[in-house]
Amino acid sequence: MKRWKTIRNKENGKEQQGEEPFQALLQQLVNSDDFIQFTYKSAAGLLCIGYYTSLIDGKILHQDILPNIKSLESIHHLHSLIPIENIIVTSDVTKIKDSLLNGHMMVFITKDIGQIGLVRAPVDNTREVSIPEVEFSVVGPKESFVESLDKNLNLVRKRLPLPELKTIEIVIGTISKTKVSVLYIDGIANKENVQTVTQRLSDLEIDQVNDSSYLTQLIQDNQNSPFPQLIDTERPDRIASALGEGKVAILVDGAPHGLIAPTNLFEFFVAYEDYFLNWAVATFFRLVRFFAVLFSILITPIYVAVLTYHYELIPKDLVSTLVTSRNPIPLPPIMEALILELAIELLREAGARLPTKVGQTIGIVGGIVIGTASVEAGLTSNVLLIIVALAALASFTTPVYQMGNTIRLIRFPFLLMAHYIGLVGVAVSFIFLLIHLLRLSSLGRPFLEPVYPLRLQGLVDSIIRLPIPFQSKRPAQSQAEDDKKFNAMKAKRIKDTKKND
Amino acid sequence: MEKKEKQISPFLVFFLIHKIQLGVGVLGFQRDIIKFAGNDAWIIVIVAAILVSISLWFMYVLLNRHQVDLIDIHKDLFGKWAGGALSIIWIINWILLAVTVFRNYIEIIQVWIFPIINVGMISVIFIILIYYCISGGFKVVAGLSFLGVVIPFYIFMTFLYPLEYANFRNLLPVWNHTITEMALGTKEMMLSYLGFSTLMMFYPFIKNPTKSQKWAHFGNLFTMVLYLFLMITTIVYYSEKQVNRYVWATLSLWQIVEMPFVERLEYIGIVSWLLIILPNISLNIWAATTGAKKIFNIKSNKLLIGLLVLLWLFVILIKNSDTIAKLNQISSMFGMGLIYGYVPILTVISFIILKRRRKKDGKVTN
Amino acid sequence: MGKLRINIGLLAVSATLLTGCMGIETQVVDELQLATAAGFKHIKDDEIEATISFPVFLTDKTVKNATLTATDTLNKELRDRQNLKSEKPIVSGKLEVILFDRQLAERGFFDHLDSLMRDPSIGSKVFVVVLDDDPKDVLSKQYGNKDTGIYLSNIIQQNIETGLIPKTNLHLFTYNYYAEGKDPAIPIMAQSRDGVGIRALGLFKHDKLVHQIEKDELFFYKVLFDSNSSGETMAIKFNEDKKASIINVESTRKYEVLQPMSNAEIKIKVKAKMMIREYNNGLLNKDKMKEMENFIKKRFEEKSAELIQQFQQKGTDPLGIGEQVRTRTRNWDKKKWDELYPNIPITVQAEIEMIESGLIN
Repeated sequence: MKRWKTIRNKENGKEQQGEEPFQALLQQLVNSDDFIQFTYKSAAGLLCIGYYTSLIDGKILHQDILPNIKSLESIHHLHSLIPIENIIVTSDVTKIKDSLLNGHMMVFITKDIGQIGLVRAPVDNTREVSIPEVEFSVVGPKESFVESLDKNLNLVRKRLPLPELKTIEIVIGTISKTKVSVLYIDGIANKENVQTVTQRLSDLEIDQVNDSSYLTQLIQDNQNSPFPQLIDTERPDRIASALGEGKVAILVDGAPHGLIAPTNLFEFFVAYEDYFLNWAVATFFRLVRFFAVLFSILITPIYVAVLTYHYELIPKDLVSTLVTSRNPIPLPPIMEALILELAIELLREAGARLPTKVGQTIGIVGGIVIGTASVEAGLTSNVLLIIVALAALASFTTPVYQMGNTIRLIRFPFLLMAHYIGLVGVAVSFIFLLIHLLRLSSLGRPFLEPVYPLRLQGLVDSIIRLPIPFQSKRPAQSQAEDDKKFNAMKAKRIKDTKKND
Repeated sequence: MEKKEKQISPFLVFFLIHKIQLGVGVLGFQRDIIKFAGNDAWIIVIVAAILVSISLWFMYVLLNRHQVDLIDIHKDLFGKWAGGALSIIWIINWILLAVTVFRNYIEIIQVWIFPIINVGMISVIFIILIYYCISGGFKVVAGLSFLGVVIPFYIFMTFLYPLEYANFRNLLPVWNHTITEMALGTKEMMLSYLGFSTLMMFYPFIKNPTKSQKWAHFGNLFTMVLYLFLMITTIVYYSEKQVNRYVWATLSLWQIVEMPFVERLEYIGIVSWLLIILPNISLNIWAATTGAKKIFNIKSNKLLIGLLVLLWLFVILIKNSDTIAKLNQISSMFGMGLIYGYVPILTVISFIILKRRRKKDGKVTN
Repeated sequence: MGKLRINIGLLAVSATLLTGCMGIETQVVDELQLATAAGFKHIKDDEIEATISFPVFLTDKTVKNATLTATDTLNKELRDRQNLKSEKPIVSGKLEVILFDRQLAERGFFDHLDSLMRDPSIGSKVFVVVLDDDPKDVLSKQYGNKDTGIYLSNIIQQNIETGLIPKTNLHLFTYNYYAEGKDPAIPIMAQSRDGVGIRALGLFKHDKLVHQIEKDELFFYKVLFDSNSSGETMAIKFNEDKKASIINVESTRKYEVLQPMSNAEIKIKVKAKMMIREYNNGLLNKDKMKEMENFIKKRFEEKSAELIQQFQQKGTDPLGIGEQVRTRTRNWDKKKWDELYPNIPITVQAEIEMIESGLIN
């Protein structure tokens, strides 16, 4: 601190006024213990270097900067001395501050007082691109996003080598200063959507953005809905294909998940692997998933409703099974169901909080021991145990993690309503859910899009997935400027050379 | 015309018209018709549908000429005060239709599922649903109508089960009744098709409304197909005097169904029916709210809550099945009068007034 | 923000409403006494004795049959009286069989059925049966690891499916009861040494039992009754030691009404393909087959005519001949038909074809 002051006093006492903000900055910087600064004697007098050790790559510093910098005569000669392309000379204090915090080191000499050279030498300690874990697929590409925005952009750009792929960078967060990139393909994506996204992002008032899921919660149309209205994905291929459909993607620095908008309910049940499989197989899997969702939401409530109010519905051959299994149980069906549902939620939560290996053990121990024991103790019936376990299993088939959580949550209101007014309650909850979904929108586009409003163009890839030539048009939901993907006729034709047999 | 974002595509009119026609009456319409027309009741279903189509045509003639909703037509033709007064008649009609459907459904729940249910409470729950639906705007109401047709469609498949006991000879001999009997039956049947007058409110919410006419007729046709299917099933499944014993013949059809995983489908049917009648009530209340908003210039949210409270009061004040029967009679006669009397007359009046105006303003417009 | 507040308000209101006073009774399935069979017996005048049987499910997966009996005049009163004696509330939603003793059947029991039809919890597939013994006696016995209601219903169901008796249930009974030109027919059951069995088919005029078709004649009745039928079996005796058992593979029945609503003849034409199941007279050759065809044809026509004559005498019309006439006439007059029915000549024409003789000839 003192040394900086002395330099200034010795060399240039006159410029004190213009130096004020810079002085303040220095004071601020030196207060942090990981800010290093030292002074050299160089060809042109005193040479000072300052940087955050935690942000600077020592290798670059030692190999490229320090050996070359001693012969510096003027700050403007930095370019010729140091083999690094990213060098700026400026006197803008904010810029200096930001650059220092982004992995630059600053250089300044007594001769050119007021002019600071900024040399970029950031340390790169993000993890390597790895296999997707949340959206794992057996076949198909196996790379997923990491925490570095640059790497993520690189992953996307590799898949879309187009000059039309545009990014808009926005910095969000008063203290986190997170870089957020909005990606879209010019000429395909609807300008209005891009406009809405950038508008919403730049209007955000928040201190920290630690992950893309912050943005999902902040910019989606209805923030009180348990349903996410933006898809988050860790697969660059999924983002690339969404961009190709005319959608807008958001990548956040420090977040291994990108966001896609606009989207609809059905896309949340699309595993990207579907596209790597034959269409019939993929359609079957999708239908299984939709069935699983309905099953997971409805089966326990229906059990509770039927056993509590509508015994008439039970077929005569099933009566004895149900009654025998429920006979020793002192609790009403709702309590029984709630205990089991809570047990499953506890197991899930415990498994999620513990390290992977311990978590697995918990799952098995909990599942087997607690399940069997509670049946034997006469706290729950084994029929319900099967039902709840299947419902839980079914809820885990949802490919998008956030949606899976939602589905587990909305089971509980259904359950309570089933207890209060039986099947009427189940119907009321179901209709409430339908109206809620009808009211939802994603970037102002209806959330149930290919079904309501009915769009045949989108239906070919929603609940079912038809062969690729059928998907020659971009879904209506993204309102693409150019809605034709490829020529369906040409895609169907296989141009083999004539066989000689 | 409304803003483009608020409008729906013309083919959705198919679902709206169908939905508003297929209410709670379908669960027990057979008795009143078979009472008059016996085994020829199915003919009546078709005849009534044709008459409804004619009335739809009248409505479209009127609406296509004005390109605005009924309230504005009234205002245009009769001025602010007289027009407003006439509009209030229609608003009452829609509220009455909503009350009828609502109360009948609750009666079914009372009789079939929960003999001692607190009517006030259960209707509050339904009304919350209706509020949540209507406050989302017309698009949500239309969307629920669409889903209310598509999702519960499976229950019509289950009516194939009773055909195991069908006696198709019951349909013979064809045309076994007098014209008077048939006419009386037709009058009764037309009540089952009522409710499509809400078209005159949502007309401006349709993109290319003139193009939607064919969809409206298709919707009516679809309703007819369902009624016809149910009527024929009823005729072949029951004996004529037996039907007269059943207040809800459609529901009683389900009592015979047994599947490996579920018996007694009438419970499932009644519960699924909630999704069928809720858009119906919502559409009526929506029409009433939109109309009243235009006349009185009140904020629509407050008005909606007010109307729903009114609906709730009506529903809990009507206590026994006699009053419900009376309500059904009043609302259906009222609705019939409006559709078959008022609409054609209005069309003619509009024709005359507009013609006279055109003569007057001839020079100006040219 | 305002919207959020409204939504939360709505949730709060509905939550408080729900927890309070929906006012509906729970009917938890294991806290109910699920009656599976109800038997009614005539005591005197209006008084009837009602017995219900219900399963008691034990924890070792066995089912015990239990019964409750009460005497009163009104159906639902009976239920209350039974409830007084019951550990859990009795409900009738799982009723499978309704039994009436012969005396009650002969006096007419439609009033009792009426109260059952009025009850929405009772399905239309309930079997209505006449019992030759005391219902209390039959219902209080246990047959195998199930309750008696299920046991009885299984017997009837099985016999309908194999085609030995025509379809029957509460709906069909009411259908025929109300139908003009058709009368109900329901199975008559009775105790035997090895359990309970179907003894005959009881024929009704309105709701009163007037006549019955014995086991051996059910074959003819069934073939005449269904427009398409299969699966009925019959044993025929040519003489003391020539015997055969045949099964109806496929038969069709058509009516020919020349002049409806008059005394003109009504023809019933039956075409049947039959198969031999058992034969104890040496080899079956073509001649013998032909002979058998003729024999069966003759016997069928005779027996059927005899049956129909019995029906006409008793004034009951289980075959629905009246319905055939009704659907062929305009301006149907039920009274006139009731007068005509006993005297109309009704003939049966059969066309029998033996198609198979089993694995051996």
